[in-house]
Formats: sequence, C-alpha cells, structure tokens
Amino acid sequence: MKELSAPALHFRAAGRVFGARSAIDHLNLEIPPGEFAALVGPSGCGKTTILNLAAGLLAPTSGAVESFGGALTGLNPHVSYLFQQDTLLPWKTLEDNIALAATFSGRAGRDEAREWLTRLGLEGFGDYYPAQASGGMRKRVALAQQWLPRRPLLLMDEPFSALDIHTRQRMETELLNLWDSDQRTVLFVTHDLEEAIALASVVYVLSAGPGSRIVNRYPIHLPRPRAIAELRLDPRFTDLYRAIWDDLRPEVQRAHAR
Amino acid sequence: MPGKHVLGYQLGLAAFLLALWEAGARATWIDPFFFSRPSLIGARLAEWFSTSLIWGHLGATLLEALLAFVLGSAAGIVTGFWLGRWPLGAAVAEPFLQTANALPRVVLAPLFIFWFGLGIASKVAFGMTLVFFLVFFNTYRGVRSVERALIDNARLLGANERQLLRHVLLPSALGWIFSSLEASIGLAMVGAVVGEYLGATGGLGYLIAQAEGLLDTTGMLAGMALLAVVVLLIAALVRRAERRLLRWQQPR
Ligand SMILES: Nc1ncnc2c1ncn2[C@@H]1O[C@H](COP(=O)(O)OP(=O)(O)OP(=O)(O)O)[C@@H](O)[C@H]1O
Ligand SMILES: [Mg+2]
Repeated sequence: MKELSAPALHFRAAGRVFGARSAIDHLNLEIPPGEFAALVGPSGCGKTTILNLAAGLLAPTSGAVESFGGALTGLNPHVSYLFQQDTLLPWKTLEDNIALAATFSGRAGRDEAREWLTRLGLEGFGDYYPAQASGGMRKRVALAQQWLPRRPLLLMDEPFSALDIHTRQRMETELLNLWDSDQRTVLFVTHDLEEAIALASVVYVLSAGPGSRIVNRYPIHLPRPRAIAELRLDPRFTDLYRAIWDDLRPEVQRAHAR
Repeated sequence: MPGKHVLGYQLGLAAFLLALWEAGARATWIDPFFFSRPSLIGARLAEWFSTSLIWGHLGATLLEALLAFVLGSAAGIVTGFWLGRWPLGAAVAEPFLQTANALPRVVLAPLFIFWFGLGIASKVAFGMTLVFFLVFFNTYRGVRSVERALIDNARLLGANERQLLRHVLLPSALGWIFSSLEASIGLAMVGAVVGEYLGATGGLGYLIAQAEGLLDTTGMLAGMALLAVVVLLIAALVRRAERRLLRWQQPR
C-alpha cells in the first residue's frame, strides 16, 4: 500500500535478462518521495530497462521492485512515463492528447487542457494534429499529458535529447518550474551529464552493460531556483561535472570498446 | 501535382477510344457481331432505363453486394481485432484461415447456389467469403502494427481494454481497413454478379447471362458498362468517407 514515508521507488537487487543477455544485474536503488533523481550512463547500459521495470511494463527476472511500499505486480499505478519515443496519438488533436488521462477516467478535461496549452505557450494550437506541430511543441504537449494526471512519480526517458539547444533549455526550465511548484518524485534518464547536474537533486552513474549496476551517487547541492543557461558557468557546477565525469568516462569508453 | 488539366485529358482519351471503336465497327475493321458498337450500347442502356425493369435488376444486385459488403466487412473487422489482440487464437487459427483463403473462391459459387437456392442468400454468402478475407487480413495487420509504446502509454494513462480499442487500436487500424474497403466493394459486386450469372431470377449478372444466351454482345457489354459505372460511384463515396475519417493524416 501507499505510505508517505516509503520510497517512491525501491529496486532490491533487481536484475533483468533478455534471452542470454543480462541488461541490469543486482541493482540497488532507493529514491525517496520528492527527489529529482537523474540517471546517467552510456548508451545501451539499461537506462530504459530500469524505467520499464519502474513502470511495471517489464518484470524483473531476479530481485524485486517496489513503489511506495508495494511490490510491483503489473503496471505501477503511481507513475507517469514520458517515453523516449513520440507517443502522442497522431489521430487526436494536441488538446485531446493533453486530456487523454482525463478521457480514460471518464471526464472531459477540456478546461484543464486549455489552461495547459496557454501555460505552455501553445494557445491557439489546440486543434492541431501532432503531424502539424513542431518537435518542441509535441514534447511540451507530451509533458503536459504526463503531468496532468497528478501521479506522484514521473519517469522521463531522454525526453529532450532530440530538441535544439534553445528549445531544450526552455523545456528544462519548464520542467524545473513544474517540479518546484509541486514536489513530485522524478526519475530522469539522460546521457547528457550537464543536463543531469542542472536539473537533479541527485545524480546516479550507471556502469556500461551487460549486467549494469549503480557505480556512484552524487547529491547536487546547487541552490534553487536554478537558471539553466547560466548555471553551467558556475564553478560549483563545473567542479561537480569534473568529479562525476571521472566516474562516467571509463564506463563510456568501456561501452564504446564493445 | 499533375495540374487541373488531367480531367480534360482523361475525357478526351475516353472519347477518342470510343470514337475509334465506333468508326472501326462501322467500317467493319472489327466485327460488330463480336464487339458491338458504343452507339448501340448507349441506345440499349437508354432503352433499359426507359422501362422501370432495369431498376429492379440494378436494385437486386446492389442489395446483394451491399449485404455481402457490410456483413463480410463487419465479420472481417471483428475477427481481425479479436485475433489481433489474442496471439494464441491467431496462432491456432492461422493454418485454417490460410487454407480457406487459398481456395479459389469461384468454385464455391455453384455450391452456395446448391445450398442456399437461387435467391439472394446464395449471392450474399458468396460475396461475404470474398470480402471477409481481404478485410480480415488488413485489420489483423493494422492491429498488430500499432506501435508498442502507444499502447503502453495509453495503458499507463489508465485506459482499459475497451478504451484502448476505441482510442488507440481502431483509429490506428483504420487506415489499413480503409485501404481494403475500396477493393472489397469491388469484390462484393463480383460476388453478386457471378452468383447471378450462375443462377438467379434477376440482377445485372442475370441480364448479362441472358444476353449471352441470345449471343447478344450489345446486351452483355451494356450490362458490364452499367456495372463499371456503379462500382466507380461507390468507390468515390468510400474515398470521401475515408478523407473525413483520416483527416489527421493530411497536415494542413
Ligand atoms: N525487449 C528487449 N529484448 C531484448 N533485448 C533488449 C530488450 N530491451 C532492451 N534490451 C537490451 O538490453 C540492453 C539495455 O537496453 P536499454 O534500452 O535499457 O538501454 P539504454 O540505456 O536505454 O540505451 P539508450 O541510451 O541507447 O536508450 C541493451 O543491450 C538492449 O539491447
Ligand atoms: Mg533508452
């Protein structure tokens, strides 16, 4: 059952194999409620697998995954999940896509959806179809679609990696504003270390696969609210970057060597 | 874009071919007994439409085709969705469906007339067997090709199986289903006409068979011309419905 004190996510020696290949192995990870955790690691190390386990889309082949005190059997009812790929429904307008969770729970959700369009600077684009919207617009709509159901845990899989740098910084700011306004738990996957440090309150470094584990955990004590664009010049930021990169570099090199 | 002159060229080409046919038949380069002449066919059509008899034949064929189309498509769509969401059932059913589909369906027509009589039922049943498989295979493929992430995302946002069907699977499969509907209307007409041709008391196929019995090429060709026009009209209607329902595929 859901308890306030229980971790939003708890991986207990969790492992997952695909056929003969082990994606993650004996993974221990505990994320308390309200934390903004970032997960960095080389490509193919199992980041998406970890999120799929957290969402209950995959079952661990060893160990256990718990969310808010309950072991997961099937879909995790506490999560929203912003996928790595585009998941807006192409046959629904942007407004209807934002209101999708409301539609599934039997409400119209129109007013809320309109409010969000305005809030994200998409006023007047509500009746566009995704194919007519730019990549940045689609990401904003996808973020609203996931934020709106008010689930306590938000999983994000490299959500901004396909965006240009300006759109990206705008989205990062947007996300931080949202998170500052109601402290949900966020598990944010990226392979961009700068992004991880700029956003998160704690950064986890994953080892290269197969059989990935957590290599290290770095609390990020940078003051909030953070100004994304300027933060990267802050000496505390660069110190953190250097320290974490020393851990991450060998993993990236190992991943490339294969 | 090919431009706005296309329709003009098309009409011109049709007029040219008909004129060539007419002139060739009049000059007896081609034998009018075997090939008739456009003007004779036109006159025959005018004659048919001057009495109310032709409407009865046309109506009978259209009703058979419509029933075959609606029932066959409905069965195909329902079965397609059902097996598309149920891998075990699909695996079990596959060899049976492949076998049934591999059978040249025309040989079923005499059997159906034997079973269901000379009336409408045998034509509808025959047309259904033609329509069903086409719609079924397309629907099945459409349901199976829905991206995994779209389904996962909808389920995580709280969709139950019925909502998943309505908001994700059905719209996604609609493009595939529509691409088969135009062809299946043609097949439904084929079913009706072939059924009538082999044994009936009315309908376009019956008219053509009768003309054939009298060695009347003009009558046979008039029946075929009428058939072609009807199929083209219905196909145009389906395309309109498709454009409406698949608006999201055409960015403004
Ligand atoms: N469904 C699956 N079937 C087989 N192997 C899989 C499956 N999903 C993931 N894998 C394998 O597990 C490993 C980890 O994959 P995962 O997608 O979690 O990596 P990732 O860290 O998200 O990579 P990227 O940064 O490129 O997105 C990879 O070797 C991948 O090939
Ligand atoms: Mg990934």
